[in-house]
Amino acid sequence: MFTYPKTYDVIVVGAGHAGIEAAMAASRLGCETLMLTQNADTIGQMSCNPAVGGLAKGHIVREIDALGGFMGLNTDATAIQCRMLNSNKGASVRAPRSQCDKKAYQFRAKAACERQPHLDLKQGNALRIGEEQGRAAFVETDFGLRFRGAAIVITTGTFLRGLLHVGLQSRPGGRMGDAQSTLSGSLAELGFEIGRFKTGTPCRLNGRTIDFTRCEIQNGDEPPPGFSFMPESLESTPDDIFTLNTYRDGMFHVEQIPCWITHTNARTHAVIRANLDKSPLFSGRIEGVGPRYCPSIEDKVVKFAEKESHQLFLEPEGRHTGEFYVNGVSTSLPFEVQYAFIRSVQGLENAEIMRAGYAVEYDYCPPTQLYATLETKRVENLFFAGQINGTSGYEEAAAQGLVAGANAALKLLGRPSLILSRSEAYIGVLIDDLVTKGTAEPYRMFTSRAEYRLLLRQDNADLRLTPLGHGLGLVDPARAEKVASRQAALAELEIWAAGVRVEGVPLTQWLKRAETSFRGLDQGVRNRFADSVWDIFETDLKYAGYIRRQHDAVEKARLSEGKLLPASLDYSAISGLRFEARQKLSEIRPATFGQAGRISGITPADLALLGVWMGRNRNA
Amino acid sequence: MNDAIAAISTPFGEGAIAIVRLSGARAGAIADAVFRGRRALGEAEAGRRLFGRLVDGGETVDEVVVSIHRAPASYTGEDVVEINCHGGILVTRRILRLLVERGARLANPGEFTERAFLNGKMDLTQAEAVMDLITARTDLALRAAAEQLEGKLGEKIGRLREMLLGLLAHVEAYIDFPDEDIEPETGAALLDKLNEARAANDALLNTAGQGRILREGVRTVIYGAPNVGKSSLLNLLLGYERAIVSESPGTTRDTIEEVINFRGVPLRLVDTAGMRDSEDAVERAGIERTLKSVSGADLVLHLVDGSRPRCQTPPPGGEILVLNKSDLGEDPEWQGAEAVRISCRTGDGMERLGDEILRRLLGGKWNAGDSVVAINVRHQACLKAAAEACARARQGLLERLPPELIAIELRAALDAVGEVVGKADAEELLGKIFSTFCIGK
Repeated sequence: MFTYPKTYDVIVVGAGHAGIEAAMAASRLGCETLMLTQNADTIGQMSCNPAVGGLAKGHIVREIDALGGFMGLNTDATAIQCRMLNSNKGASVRAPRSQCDKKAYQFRAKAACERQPHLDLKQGNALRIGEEQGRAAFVETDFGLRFRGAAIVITTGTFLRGLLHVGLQSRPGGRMGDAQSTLSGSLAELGFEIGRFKTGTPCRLNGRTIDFTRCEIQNGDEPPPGFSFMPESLESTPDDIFTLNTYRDGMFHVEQIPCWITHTNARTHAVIRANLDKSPLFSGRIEGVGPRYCPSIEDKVVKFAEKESHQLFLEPEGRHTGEFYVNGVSTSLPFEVQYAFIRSVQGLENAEIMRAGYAVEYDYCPPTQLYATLETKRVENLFFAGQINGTSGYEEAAAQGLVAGANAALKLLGRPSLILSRSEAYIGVLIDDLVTKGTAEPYRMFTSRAEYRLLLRQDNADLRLTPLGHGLGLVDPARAEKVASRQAALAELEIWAAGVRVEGVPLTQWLKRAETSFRGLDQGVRNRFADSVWDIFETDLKYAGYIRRQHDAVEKARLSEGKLLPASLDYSAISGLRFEARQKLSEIRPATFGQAGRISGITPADLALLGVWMGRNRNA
Repeated sequence: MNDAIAAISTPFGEGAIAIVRLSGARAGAIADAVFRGRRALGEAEAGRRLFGRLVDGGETVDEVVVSIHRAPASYTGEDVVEINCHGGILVTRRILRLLVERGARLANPGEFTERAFLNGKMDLTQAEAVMDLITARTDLALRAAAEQLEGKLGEKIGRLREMLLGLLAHVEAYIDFPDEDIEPETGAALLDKLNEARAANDALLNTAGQGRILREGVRTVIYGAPNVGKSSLLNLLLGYERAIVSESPGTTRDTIEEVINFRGVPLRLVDTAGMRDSEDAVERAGIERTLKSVSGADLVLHLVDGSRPRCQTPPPGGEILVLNKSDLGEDPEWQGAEAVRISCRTGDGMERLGDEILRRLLGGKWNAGDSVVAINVRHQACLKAAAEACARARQGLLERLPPELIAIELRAALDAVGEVVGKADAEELLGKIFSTFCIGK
């Protein structure tokens, strides 16, 4: 065993969406950071569809960007189609979504990691995590190399004992074409509980063989909505061929490529139904639990038998490739069945499958084994982020990577942790859900998970989070200044608007109406402030009463969030607690009454009992 | 918290047998210190009834039947001793005092149930139901409490919750899955479903009045001029001489309350001082109290002397007019008056009065065969909040507010209903969405 001469502050195992953010955050905070990956050519690989964002996920990416993260800018730089979803609904449920050039995205990510100060990128397959005195100490690779680090962040995605299924055939692998990782064996040795999940991906087609005239076109929005609050920082230098889009003349420019829509039909469903016996999902070969929100096409056909047709999106994988991702037919049926059902679809009659769809089963560690900092309860200075925590999605992974990487570094630096509350950020909702409730299926964010949805908008993520990120040292001065000036402009607009009348009523009242918008104001009036400032101002006005109610609810919740539960509390001694409640509370060890109340299976009666018990013991 | 508590657990002053209960780790020891039987309680099998005497020093206080239930297989989850003694205020009080002298503490109201709850013997709604059972005054009230205990209320509220969850699932699916070809209900279809939920909520809410009546009794005021026979009517209803009946006007100086089981409905009868101008300070105070109880009454029996002309007593409104002294003949002024005619002296007309009281109270709605679900004040507050949130959601739909605002109201309604039977969490909502819609690109 050769011990590498340089000792790192933070070692990040994995270089996917979680790994990138973790390594970037730790190195940005000045920690000497190592990013260790099985394959240095697949950094930031989009294993599933080449798109970022959407409802709730788009919110998360805006938050990552507001905290100085990487994903928003990289998406904007490599987008080939941009849309704002739900533009016909209220501001809090609008979210950006972009198709990306898959290769540009990952090569640009690699280049960024290579250039990042304090970050070393190395290829190596992590085999073992070592601890010393209960503290994470080193990582060993399968070629006998040992890297020492003061903190370790594990972001291994679907690679832990990954098993790929196509029909009834299966073989080890983290992703089609990539080897699996056996690191979960080492984690089990350290005492971690391991679970098993499953996810899937559809086949990819050669665009040359698709009849787009028989499909419905779906164009991007113009002007293209982006993710980053700092689009002006996007500039292409002659030696950077991966930044496809730049900011010029005060605008973000994207040469957009359309997506296409077609549908499955009765014949498609008949083919699938006739071949269910060849599905590893239905034959019981797959043991892992898959996500309900992303069912395979065979699942959809069985569970929603009355539905005669399912919508499919044909999404280009990049500007310089003809490969199309068939969104909507995630499957693990054998190749010949995929071939038959794909060709039954309108527009795909002659389609050539380039890569078959497949399912992947992988190990994860139930996230209730973590603190809200994403540090494990079992081993100090060991952090988990991404799919290892039972989540799905690039955005969810990236958010955790940012939090885990930042907290690993902040802990070494002796600074306060990055813990976001449920009323501050979707990232806060995500992590609180994970560490408090765990998850019974691959966890995906939905806006309905956020009880303070009106406060957590994509348009105000920077106002919510950038000052906080700046305080922790995660955000560069330029970004912090931009937010400060936006806040100042907003304050100025509020004061100024109080004295302006439109159509005989005060502007603030006029804007409250459902049918009005600042876009309908005179240019002279409108141009006094940036559209992005008007947007927030108008939304706050239109939501006013509701926002006040949400703030009241936050205040009310703060009471129970402020009621601390001692870490040493012996729940088994509270004889009145139901067995299940005792077990759950002992396992999760909630920090506050508020968190205890969110544990699944903990009833109001349990809390009342806990409250009475605590009250009595305080008096005693 | 394990100190022994003691209380008389049968209603105050009623019945031939009373039960005194003792709970706590030392319950057996305390009881044994005063119990003389063939065997000591400490050696007795759990649940076995032992006959013996309770003694205070050398003196026998009462002959009793005693049993012990040991932790955790008892009502409170602690050792519980039940002493069945002879009813009567003096005896039960003396036994209680005896137990306190030997180290027990007087239980606070509801403390037995609180201990049962704390020791995991029952959940919150069950505990509430027990409190209701204890204070239930009639069979109907008892049945309502018993059915809540069995979860009838939980079932009904569960159905309401399911309706609200379904509504929210449609709105949330509409918000969260814009690119899916699902068809969540919006507009008129959603409004119809919302109205169904509101109706269910209102139906439950309407049982609140019944619930209070069952628990606390119908506040019934007998109102009238002096000497028209108010106390006589009260006594007739009570079936025994309770109030002081006197020929000289103004003898009833106070309001007197009694609860009777009137054909299954608890009536909390209030007799009042007669209404007339008076110089007497004590009597004036009584009159003021009368006016107060009339304003807070569920039912007012306005009693007049039908054998004499109408007098000036102002009618309190919403009352049942009762013409007393029908045995003395009716004054022509009362001809054709809509009233129940009775004679307190002969008992004539009491049946008709009873029918009228029930008709007024229950409006024919009270079907003894129906399952009785009656909510308590806490449930009422929750359901009221839900009703208000539903009304705002309806208004929002009519005004075509964006879906995220409708969702806020529906969630508020769901949370309010959840306060009664347990909150719906995000997972449950998502489960509803994924089972209703084929989500997943």
